[in-house]
Amino acid sequence: MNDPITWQKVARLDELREGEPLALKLGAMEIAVYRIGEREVFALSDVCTHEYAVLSDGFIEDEAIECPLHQARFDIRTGKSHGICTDVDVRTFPVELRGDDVYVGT
Amino acid sequence: MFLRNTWYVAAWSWEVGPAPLARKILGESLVLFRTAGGALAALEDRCIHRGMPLSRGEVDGEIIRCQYHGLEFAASGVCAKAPGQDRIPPSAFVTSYPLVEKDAVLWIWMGDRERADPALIPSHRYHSEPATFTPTRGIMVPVACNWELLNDNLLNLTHVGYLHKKTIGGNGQSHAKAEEKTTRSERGVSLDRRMPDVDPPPQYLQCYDFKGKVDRWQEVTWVPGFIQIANGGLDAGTGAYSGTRVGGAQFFGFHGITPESENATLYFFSQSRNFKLGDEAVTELLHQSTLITLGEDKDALEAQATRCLETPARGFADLKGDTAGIQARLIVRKLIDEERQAPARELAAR
Repeated sequence: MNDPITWQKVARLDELREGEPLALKLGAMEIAVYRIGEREVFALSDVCTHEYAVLSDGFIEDEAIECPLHQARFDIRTGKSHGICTDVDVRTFPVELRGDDVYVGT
Repeated sequence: MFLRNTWYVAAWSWEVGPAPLARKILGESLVLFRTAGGALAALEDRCIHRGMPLSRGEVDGEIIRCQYHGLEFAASGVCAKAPGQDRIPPSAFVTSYPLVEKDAVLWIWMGDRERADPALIPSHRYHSEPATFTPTRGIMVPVACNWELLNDNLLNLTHVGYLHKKTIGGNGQSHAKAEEKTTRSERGVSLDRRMPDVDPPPQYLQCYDFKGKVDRWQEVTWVPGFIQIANGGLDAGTGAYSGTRVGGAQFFGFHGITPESENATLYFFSQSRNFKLGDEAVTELLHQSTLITLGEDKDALEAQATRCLETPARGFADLKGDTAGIQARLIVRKLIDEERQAPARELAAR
């Protein structure tokens, strides 16, 4: 049985801009929140699985985040690695939109 | 392997007059000069006759005359006269490179001549608007390191608080922890750094009165061969990050990074400012401070280059502050790969 999810409000939807991830810490976890289009929001671990760089310092292209240092790429929707430098995916966190408030679950 | 299709700084305008200037760029020995009529010339520094450096010769009117047997070459590289005969062999020409003057700088194109568009030359208005900006006199510092190490140096400014404590540093930690954002484009990288609410560094305090803490910024704009750094400070909370800066100590650095050869770089630098315009004592102060700072960089880069050349197989660990430098190296690699795939062109005089 899974541990219960703790939901925390991280931002209002209108504070999130596509192409500009919001980096934050929830407890000990470094997480980045990404907006795609009108109302899709995703939350990924912000630590590259290769050499622990901060992914949100990187570059977004084609709905993937490219690590600023060694160009590892991870799908923003799924956290899946594109196989550059590392095959280890980044962890994803559930996101809920409650009205215009964005909640991330850890 | 160098990137050829880009404009590089060859010299400051003030460096090139009727006396020939010998300079090596991208591993090629060149002679730079200005004719009596004002034409600019960059020729291969090798007389086609028997290989004598043309820089040992003299400029006379519109030609340069070789010291050895007196062959004369125009700015275009065409042989205008071969002493002792009327007919000049078709092979008697020297390679010439486009050399264009802009904003007190001479820019050279070492690549495919057809692509040498002067509209691509970076602007640096701070050299050309004395009513608004006062520049220091441009200097050139040769550094015995590969040019990309100098790019790395200027694109990772977390070094400033440690290497340059005495001049522009301030506090090491405030540099290492500055808020940074790197953006990139096809041929360029921008790095924006902010250091809000910090003590002004010694260099600022020597020439400007702040009320106390300052909001500092460094905005680095890199394209191959040229880096522009806007930096400075405003009294804390007076709009440094608002998009419009009024007053304060604002500086605009010109950094021309020209590969001399594989492990040698020509580093061209000037510093312009928006305050105490025309005040020669301040200009001299900044000039002297610049010499110290650049001397610190030169010394450190040469030590780094030596060690890296000794250890070609040993790797590197990248840190947060390396992002902009890494992106610049990727762009250079991509551009060089693109050049390699283009068909070779025959060198010809015009």
